[in-house]
Amino acid sequence: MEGLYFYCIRKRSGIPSLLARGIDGKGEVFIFPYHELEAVVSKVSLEEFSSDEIQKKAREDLSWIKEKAIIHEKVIEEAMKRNEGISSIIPMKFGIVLKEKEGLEQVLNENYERFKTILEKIEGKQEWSVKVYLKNREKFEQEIKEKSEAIRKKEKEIASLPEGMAYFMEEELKEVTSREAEKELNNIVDFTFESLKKQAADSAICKILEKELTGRPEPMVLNAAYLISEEKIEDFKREIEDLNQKMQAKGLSVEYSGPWPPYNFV
Amino acid sequence: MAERMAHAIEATNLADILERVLDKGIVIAGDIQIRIADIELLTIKIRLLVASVDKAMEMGINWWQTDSYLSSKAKIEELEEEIKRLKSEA
Repeated sequence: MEGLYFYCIRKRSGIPSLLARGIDGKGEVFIFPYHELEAVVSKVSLEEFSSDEIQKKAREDLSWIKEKAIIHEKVIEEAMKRNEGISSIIPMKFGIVLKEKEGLEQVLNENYERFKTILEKIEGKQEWSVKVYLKNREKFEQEIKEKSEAIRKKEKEIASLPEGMAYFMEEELKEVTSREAEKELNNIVDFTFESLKKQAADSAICKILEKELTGRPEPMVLNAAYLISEEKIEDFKREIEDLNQKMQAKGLSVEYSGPWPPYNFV
Repeated sequence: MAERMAHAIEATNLADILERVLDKGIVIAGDIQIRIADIELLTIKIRLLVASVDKAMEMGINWWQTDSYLSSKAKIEELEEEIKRLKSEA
């Protein structure tokens, strides 16, 4: 029996198929029209995809998950591109397979209004990712030491103490500094998120990706997603670059990437 | 250095893709759902996948070497430490 792997929904394009290969590595990725919408799908063997073997792989074999997730993403990225620009699409979560055309038709029928509402919301908008990294903790703490009244007071106190006493006070100072740094970091992260939000139609805070995942030595302190109108994208990028300039002086960096399929806003 | 930067960007991107594709996007009831493991568990496992061992070591990530549950070498070192400590106490 034949199955259809479901990638995304978009408005009718008149383009019958995509260049990318499907989730099984061989199937053609094609369009299934439904009223003014179309589903982007590829054929898969139902036996294969419902087999215990695949279900087991999906839970346990990370290289399999990685490979399939990348195909899923690449197909959606291609479906999103239209004449130099970006068209609005609704990305599906990984792993949805329907039974033959009837199964797909039923899903489209049941979700038609929902899909239309979402497409209306994201029409002419793009998802952009913004991440803040703490690049240089020393620099960041130094800045705080210079600014903080409490810390300066403590430093003066220490300078006037005999050596033995000073040692304990210094330990205390370190603690105060790192507490102040944490507080300031939270403030900066909030400020960054909120100020970029002003330009956005919608925004979301995503999970912080750990160093082991990013492959970078500096910790991520903010991972955010924004839904931005096409005409505001250049302003949005400029604001990030301005923020980055200011943050660099404090030992932080602000980076952006996009456009992403609007995974966070559907 | 340039190569390392490229790797870092790539890894971040891959982590971004996995996080979005596996955890976000619209959910509809399909006839078959390929069920992945709990996303938290997956994140932990993916760490090891994204950062290949030598790259990870280069970046100073080596917790599995020093975590006694994951490395018998670490276990031996731990025991040797313990012996040394007991000897000095005696």
